[in-house]
Amino acid sequence: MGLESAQAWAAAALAVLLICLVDSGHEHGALDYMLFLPGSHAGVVLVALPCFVLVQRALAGASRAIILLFALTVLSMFSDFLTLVQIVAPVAAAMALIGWELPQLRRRAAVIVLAMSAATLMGAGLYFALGRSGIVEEGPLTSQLMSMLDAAKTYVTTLPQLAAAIGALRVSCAFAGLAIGLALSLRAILARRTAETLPVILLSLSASAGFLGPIIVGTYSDPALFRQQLPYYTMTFIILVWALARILRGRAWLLAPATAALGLLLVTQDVALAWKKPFVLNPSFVRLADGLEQLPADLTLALYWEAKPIYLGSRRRMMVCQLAGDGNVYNWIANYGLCLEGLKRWSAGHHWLAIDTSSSENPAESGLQGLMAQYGLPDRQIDIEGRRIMLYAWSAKREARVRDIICRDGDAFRRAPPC
Amino acid sequence: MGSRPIFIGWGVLLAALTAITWLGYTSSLNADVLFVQAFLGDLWGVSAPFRWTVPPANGLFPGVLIGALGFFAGFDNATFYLYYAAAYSVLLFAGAGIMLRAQWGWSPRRHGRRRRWRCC
Repeated sequence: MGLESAQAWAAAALAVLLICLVDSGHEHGALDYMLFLPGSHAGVVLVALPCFVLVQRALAGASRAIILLFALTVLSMFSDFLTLVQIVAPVAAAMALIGWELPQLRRRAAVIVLAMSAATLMGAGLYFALGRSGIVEEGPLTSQLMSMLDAAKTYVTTLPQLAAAIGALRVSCAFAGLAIGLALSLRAILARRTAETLPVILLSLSASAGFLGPIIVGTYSDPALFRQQLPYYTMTFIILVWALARILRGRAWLLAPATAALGLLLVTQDVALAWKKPFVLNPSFVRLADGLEQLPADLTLALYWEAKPIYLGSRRRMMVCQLAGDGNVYNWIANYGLCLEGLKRWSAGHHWLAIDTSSSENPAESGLQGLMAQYGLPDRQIDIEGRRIMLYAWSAKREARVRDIICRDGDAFRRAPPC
Repeated sequence: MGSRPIFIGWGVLLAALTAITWLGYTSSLNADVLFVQAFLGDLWGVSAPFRWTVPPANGLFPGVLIGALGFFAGFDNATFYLYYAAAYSVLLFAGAGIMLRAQWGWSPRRHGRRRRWRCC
């Protein structure tokens, strides 16, 4: 089943090129979702691959593999509950098949499933314990759930939209890879050759779980939620290149030059663009942060899509507190400590309170009315980089109002001074 | 040639390709993408209390851990994300490679049922 080393590494390189780089110029290139958004479940894929290899080693009798498998599952589950669906469940299903086919391996298969189940519980326990730490709080687990039928309908009707965003080639390859993987797995199960085909079976089961999970649970309400299906857009490419290598057989050496040629093609496509770009992040946010620092603004309030870019644009010098459109503090993937420290600085420095009223990614979120209702009319309004900034001078009354908004209960963090 | 030089060669090539491609098409980083950098920056060096609300899929392992290695190595802003792209693609490559190499040295049908089970 396996490939020789040289062919395997060339095939793996080809798989990564296909996963990460082909069609990378689309609106939501795979790089954005798979590489830079740990909150988008990208880590589960990285953990799944070594876990599947460890399962095979554990079946072969390596007790150290069980310990590593346990540790990886705990950490991955603590980080992302999709571990249960995309790693633990496929392994449990594969172990059931192994146990059914090979009675002499039943005990080892059962130990693997038990170890992973215990690791899942421990990881979940750690997750909930983290929320009680008072330092890091987890956001709410569930989003709006719909029926399986509605989720399936949403998937089918929005598929063209998704293909346009992440590339039709990627969507087609994922579908083809899953079909091949499932066909090979089914043939192996029927021929009672599960053990020999275990790598492909594990990849196919994980890809299937990734694909069906959000639809069965009913979370797939938007094409952007393809991020919950990442194994479907990664494991299937590994199956495809594996199948390609098997088809090539004696000519599998062709994989290396073909992969190198594809890499060269992709890099020449992108290198010209790369040299034209300034080597800084978000230049307009850097200029905005510079402008606000010169005022100076002791505390800046901004909506979700603006707060972190301004904060990092200022090299973390400015205190940027994240707001919702209604003007209340929005503690979602943000540091509430910046609000507390910013309030303290405004209270001591008596400079400006600045509110960025724009939302670059979602203009509908711009809540000028809501902000005005909470904070009143500004003393000054200025435009920096095309953004409307409302400025409020310090006064004891205003400070009391802002303190009231920032110190309001609404999350698990214990209120500290200046609240 | 042994397996290690081949792995290293492909790994270096992929890391460079991914980093250059990312730099080529990314014009700005949105709030979601900046999560890791902001989180690590606050954890390490900001003069404000650390009171972070992370997403339910917090990505602390391995995403933030990968980021932490780069952050503490001194990568910042664009270099941080170049490092992140390179590191992630190499890890994905290593995972895919060991999956593709995985093979069984023993088959119950070929070798009987008493032989030791070996793999990989």
